[in-house]
Amino acid sequence: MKKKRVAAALCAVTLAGAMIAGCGGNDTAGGNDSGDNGNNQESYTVKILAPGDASTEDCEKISEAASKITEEKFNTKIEVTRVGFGSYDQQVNLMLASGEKLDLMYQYCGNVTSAISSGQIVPIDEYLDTVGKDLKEQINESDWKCVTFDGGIYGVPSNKEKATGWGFAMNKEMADATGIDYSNIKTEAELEPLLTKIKEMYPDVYPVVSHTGTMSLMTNQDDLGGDIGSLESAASESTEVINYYASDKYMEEVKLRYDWGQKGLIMPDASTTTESANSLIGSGKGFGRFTNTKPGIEQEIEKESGKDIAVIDLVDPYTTTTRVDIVWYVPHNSEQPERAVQVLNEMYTNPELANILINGIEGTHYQIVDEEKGVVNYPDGVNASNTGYTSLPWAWPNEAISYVWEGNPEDLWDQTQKFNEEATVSPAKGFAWDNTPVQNQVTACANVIAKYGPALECGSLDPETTMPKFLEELKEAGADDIIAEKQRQLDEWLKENK
Amino acid sequence: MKKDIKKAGTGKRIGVHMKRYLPLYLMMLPGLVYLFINNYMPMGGILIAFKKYNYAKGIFGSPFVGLKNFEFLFATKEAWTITRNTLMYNLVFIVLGTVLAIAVAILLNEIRSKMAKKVYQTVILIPFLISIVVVSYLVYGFLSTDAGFINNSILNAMGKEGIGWYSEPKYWPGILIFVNIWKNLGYNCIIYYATVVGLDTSLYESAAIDGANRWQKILHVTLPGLKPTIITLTLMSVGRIFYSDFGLFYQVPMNSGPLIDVTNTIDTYVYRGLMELNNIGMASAAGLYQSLVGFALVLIANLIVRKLDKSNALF
Repeated sequence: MKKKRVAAALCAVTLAGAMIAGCGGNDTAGGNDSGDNGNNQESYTVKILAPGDASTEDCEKISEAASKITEEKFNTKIEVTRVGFGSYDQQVNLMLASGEKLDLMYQYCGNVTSAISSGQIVPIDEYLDTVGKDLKEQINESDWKCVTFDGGIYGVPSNKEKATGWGFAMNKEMADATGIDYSNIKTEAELEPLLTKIKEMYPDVYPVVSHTGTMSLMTNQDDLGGDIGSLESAASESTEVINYYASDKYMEEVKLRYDWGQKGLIMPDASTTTESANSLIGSGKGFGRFTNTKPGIEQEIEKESGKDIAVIDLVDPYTTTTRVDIVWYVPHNSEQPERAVQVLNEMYTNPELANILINGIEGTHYQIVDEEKGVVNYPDGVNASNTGYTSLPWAWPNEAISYVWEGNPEDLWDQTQKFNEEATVSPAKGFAWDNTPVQNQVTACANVIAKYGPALECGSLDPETTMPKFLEELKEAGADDIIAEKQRQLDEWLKENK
Repeated sequence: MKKDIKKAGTGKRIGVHMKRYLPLYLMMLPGLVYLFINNYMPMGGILIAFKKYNYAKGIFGSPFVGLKNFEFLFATKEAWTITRNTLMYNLVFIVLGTVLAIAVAILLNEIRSKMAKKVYQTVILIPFLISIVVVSYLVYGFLSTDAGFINNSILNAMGKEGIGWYSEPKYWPGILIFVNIWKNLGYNCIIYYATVVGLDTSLYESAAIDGANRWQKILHVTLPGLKPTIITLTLMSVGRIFYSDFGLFYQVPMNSGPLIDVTNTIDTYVYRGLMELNNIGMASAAGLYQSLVGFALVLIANLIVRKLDKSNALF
């Protein structure tokens, strides 16, 4: 009895499935005849998850506006959900574990290998060749390699700055008041006279502040996709994986910082403060900070701190796998990955759709300041803190086809393009590190690094006495195993990609 | 035959029993349902600790990896540090916390003015209601190197050099114990106070007739009366001895690197290590390890209590 019923149910399901498939097939064929690509596909809703704060009502409005474009073209609706950064990772994990339908999502590159090995995301190459053709052509080969694993492409790198330089950002007014010509400063050590002078003139101001307890290193090491084990310099041809913490460059830098700390040039408690560097500079308590550099960085810090900012470049722009850091994925719980890629392709190439998703609705979330140059700003009465839909261009697939916000250079996107093209390319760019074979060591090392790294880099610990302990503990935690495994994977990759 | 009679007998007895206690069982039902849904159903998730979790395959489809997920907890000598920290801090919290809570509860009981009693009670309880993140900034207000109250207003005023509190591990065991006791004293104290208030007043009266002074009354009436509560609460804390208050050990020291040797506990170790790996299997393994050890410790502690005094054991 039971068996029969199951069989009947199966039959019914298969039949229904065949009917749906049949309908879809016919319609697509019809669509192709009329030359209207996929307009008559069965209707489908693509659910998109993006970071940043936005209210539910505003997301609904934006979904509606975006759906108008995609419905006409592909008979596909769009549903946008946004989650603030604080809870984004957690929310993604929940949605992926619960099996809730989700078609497109944004995630940091850092998790890409673990996302694949834990089955969170699916390969999309077959769809890129069909419905994602435009997108595939526009992204260059070395960027595609960064998201390719075992021959499958697992994501779409966002079109934003894909390289980074490093430098020192500072309060321009104070820097000018010292009378020191800072345009000739090329290295971190050369900053010292300027910082000393600042300390003399403004005894209540910390010459260097940290950013939420960390201070960036002025180095172009390639960390090969995260965890310990780096190429010492992205600009050199050497592909030897080393422990960067054991390098002379690292020692030199933390010695300099410790010296500065002793001289009072770095804020006290630099490695424990939870305040952001920009707010410390904004409140007048700090003079400058170490920062990544890219086109528009001055304006970005100016916007957050409210001070005039000058940036001294200390490390030339370079690019590595880690720098291709924003990737859009199709998660495993997408019902129709093909339709998701189709929409992603549109998001990447259609300025109208990109603008709706990035900036919201004209008049509500932004207004056009200069139509010709494509410059926008908040409408009257709206600002960064009360807008219902935060604009984060870099978090979306292609910021370069969206409007530029007032205060940035008008040709920001061209500058970004140039920045990417001119950056030094690491010999290991495209190599994607898979840490699953050494997870125990990675966990242990992460704890050792948390113990010494930030405090050394903020100049709070004496490198002479601390460094030997640090390296010893890293060794015990299995750093050498990680480095050896990384070297093995890298050599293999280099062999395949020569 | 005999068996049948016995069965019928028990059946009848159960019937009588049920009739008498049915209302009580009914009252228990919602709680049981809650317990089942909330605490027992998710236990299936323990499986994850033994699997290489794959989102696409789900809990049951993911491949088994045996005890591999547990390895990272014992991989390095950090394992010893975190276990020592977790256990020692919790032991101190249990002993010191209990003694102080009882002392304060008795003191509260001795206060005559109703008004004063209410005020003290509220003041003691307030820290318990403050979020640990706020507490961590209160502590920072005291200990911050250049603007903190202690360095600025006390040490400097005495002509002494300020201390870099957040890079000196030696002070932190004391600071953490103080903060924890300060925060939780009020809550523990209320439970003990409620028991003290509920003690039979005739016992005190007869003690007074026998000529007992206040101290003797506390020693011979109050403390023995508190014994069952003390044992129950202590047994319950022993069950959580392998867990640590994440906020206390991560937020309050401001996640400061140099302090890690004295602030790293099992929970913070797992957090720091897995934050980037995002490995659900390893995280569940850590949780399972903690609860198994806690479970074993409760059983042992209860066994000891039962050996000493049967009527006070939990089960």
